Amino acid sequence: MKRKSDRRKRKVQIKKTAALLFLGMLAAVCLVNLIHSDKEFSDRENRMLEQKPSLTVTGVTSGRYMKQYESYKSDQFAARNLWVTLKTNTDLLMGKRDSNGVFKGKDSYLLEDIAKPDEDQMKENIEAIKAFEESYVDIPVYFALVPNAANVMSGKLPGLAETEDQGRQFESIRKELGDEVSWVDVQTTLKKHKDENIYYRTDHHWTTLGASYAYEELAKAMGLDTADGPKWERYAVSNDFNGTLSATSGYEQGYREPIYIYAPEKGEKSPDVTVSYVDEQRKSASLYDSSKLKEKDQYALFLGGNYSMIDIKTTADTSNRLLLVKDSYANCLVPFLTPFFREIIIIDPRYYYGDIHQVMDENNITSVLFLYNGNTFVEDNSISGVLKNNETE
Amino acid sequence: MLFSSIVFLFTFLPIILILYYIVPRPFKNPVLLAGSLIFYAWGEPFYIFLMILSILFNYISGLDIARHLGHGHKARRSLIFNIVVNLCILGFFKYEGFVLDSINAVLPVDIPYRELALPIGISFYTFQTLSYIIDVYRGNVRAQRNLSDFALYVSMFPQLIAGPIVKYADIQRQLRIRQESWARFGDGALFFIRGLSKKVLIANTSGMVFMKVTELGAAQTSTLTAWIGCAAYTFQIYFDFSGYSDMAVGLGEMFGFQFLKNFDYPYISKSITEFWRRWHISLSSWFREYVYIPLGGNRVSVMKHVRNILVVWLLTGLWHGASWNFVMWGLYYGILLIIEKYVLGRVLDRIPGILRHAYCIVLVMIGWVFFFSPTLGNAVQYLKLMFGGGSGIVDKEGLYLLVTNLVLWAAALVGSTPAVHTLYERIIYRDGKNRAAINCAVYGVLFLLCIAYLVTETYNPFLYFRF
Repeated sequence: MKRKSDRRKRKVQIKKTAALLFLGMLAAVCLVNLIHSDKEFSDRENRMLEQKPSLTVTGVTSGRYMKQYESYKSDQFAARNLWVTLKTNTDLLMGKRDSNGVFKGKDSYLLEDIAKPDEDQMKENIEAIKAFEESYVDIPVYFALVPNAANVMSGKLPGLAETEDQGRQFESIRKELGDEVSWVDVQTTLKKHKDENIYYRTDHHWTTLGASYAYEELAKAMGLDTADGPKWERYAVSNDFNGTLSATSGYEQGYREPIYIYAPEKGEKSPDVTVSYVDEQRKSASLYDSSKLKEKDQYALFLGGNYSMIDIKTTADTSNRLLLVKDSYANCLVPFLTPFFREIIIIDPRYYYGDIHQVMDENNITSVLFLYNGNTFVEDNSISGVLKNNETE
Repeated sequence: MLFSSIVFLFTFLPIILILYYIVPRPFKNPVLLAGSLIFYAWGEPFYIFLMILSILFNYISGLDIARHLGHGHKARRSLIFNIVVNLCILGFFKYEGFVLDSINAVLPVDIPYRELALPIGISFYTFQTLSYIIDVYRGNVRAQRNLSDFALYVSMFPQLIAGPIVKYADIQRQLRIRQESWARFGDGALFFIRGLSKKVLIANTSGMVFMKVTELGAAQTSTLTAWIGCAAYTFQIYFDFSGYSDMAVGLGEMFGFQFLKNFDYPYISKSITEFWRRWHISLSSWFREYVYIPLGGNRVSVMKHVRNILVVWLLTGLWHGASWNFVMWGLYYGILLIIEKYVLGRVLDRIPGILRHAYCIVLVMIGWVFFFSPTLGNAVQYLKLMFGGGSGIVDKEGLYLLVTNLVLWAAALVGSTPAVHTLYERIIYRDGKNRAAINCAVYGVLFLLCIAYLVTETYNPFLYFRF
């Protein structure tokens, strides 16, 4: 009888302690959050954080206020990054090897999963590219599709991990495009170099080294006279890059890697450049924006990031002019092309609302290059809109 | 508002707890009522008025029935009127689209309608008010004269949006007299953290695996992958739903209420009959008490008994959602129960326990395929994948999902049985040093992990290259 009542007492005691634990933890978290001041921007997530919404009648009746308040509360949660790290490490401990569509691969490699094509969109884009090519019969159109790290370096994927077959995706895109559009086989080239650092470990982009191999392939396809061009020398411009894949997945937050740029060897003649950001009405004499090295996303060093339209004029001794339609993969490849063109007009359809046909007509374009990475291309929803522009008017 | 959200845990809950415990006794119910209305309006700023209307209607209706009790058919007429109105409201908001879709499909007509959003919790609170009204009519309970107490019964936030379905008879006394205490609060906190962990750590992560499998095409789904997907959903729905019920029980205890158990380790069942005694107990007992038994239960001829079972399970299916899948799912169980009752019962008793477990869990998993598939066609397709119609028996994708979630599977599997919990309680409540501290450490870590997972849910890096 006594033992039973002892046991009950113990139970009550343990439960009382549990009540204190729960209330204590609630109070502690609430208190820390009360003291914690709101931030405007998250470096790690590379986005503006939700601010305290103002209370309005329409906001409340429509439910908008509540939604905003909820994202405000969790965006501004004290020590947010620490909680995220706790979660990713717990997941790792439990055996998980991917997070937010990013694989935690071997040798500190983070690899973005291969995207599944948005078939309808892609078909429309391909049709638009073909139609575009047909309306400029005399101008060669090149198409370079860059595979993603998970395809080229599939050996670095975590054990058993499988992705979509990007090789097959590329093959069917090549077939759809037909023979009139010149396919530049970047995939085979990169695969030859798969043991080199051709992709960043913590970012979804290729490295400048990767781009340089693609450039060699491009030069062959486009008939650029590389023998007459400059020799390239490599410079490290950063040693502490930690890219977007690391931010997305929460893995390898402490990993730091270098960014290289390739510049013409000393003594070589290389053309001067003037870079105009057309919509921004800004000019620069450099292909690089070194102020970006102080920000989280250091890859934006190349051309300063993505802009709707960039017009690069060079002093190269040629009358060739290139129209480059691209995503961010092209940004670190463009420097290699500058010695071979008098002008390179770069259009990023995701941000571009102008008339591309007018650009073609007014600038004596002599060749067109589409350069995308596989994942962006198969999910893109802006190319066809930009290419068809004049038909809708 | 969801229990598993930052705003609930660190804004709503602390405020309501403080208010509840500082106001004197007569104001405790009104504080809880006000909190519950805000809780509901937070997610349904519009449908809160529907709920208030329903509360007022049922309050008056209950009084009206009570007034006419003993006057024969007047009370009965009032009861029928009430039930019709309640079911019409539920029917309009929940089944309008389904009914019209079905009519449009069968008849050469095309009746247009506007798809209405389903008011959260309407299935739960409608069943609660019906239990009250019927029990008043039956004389099991007295009509509630205090509007605020009645409103609190219907809208009490711990069980408002996902149950358990609390019968008025079970809680009537507690609305007036209940005892809050430190120990009960602590018990509630433990319940709550357990439920939260079930929901956040197991259900949500299983849900991610399930999502991944459904996103694969049929050509990429091996038999192994299909079963992993189905198992992931099986765990997800149990840990989600029972976790929610645990949180409800825990929150109730923090305010001095005691709700009945809603889940009792259903996946350890050895027959479908047993499964339904352990799964969503408050719903099954509601149907038993207000539909099955009034129809005559099993004390009727075999044909009528079969009819009764089918009616109850048709309704149970429909209660879960307005589509033919749920009708099929309900009838599937109705038929299984009839077979167990009249054919298999004796056979089952004679085969080894392990086979009976396997028999039950496989049938339950097949049932969930109907539950999670968007259409009947999809369900049949998925079942084909599970039974050899996919791309091979085993593939890398399946092995990857299996291996990289091994700890999750182990936790979910063990968590579906009472073993760990029983063992844990035995150790913790046994005489010994630092038991309270160990208990706090275990639950403290669980709670911290839940917060980490919840905060990460909205971790959402903006990648400039992809909108």
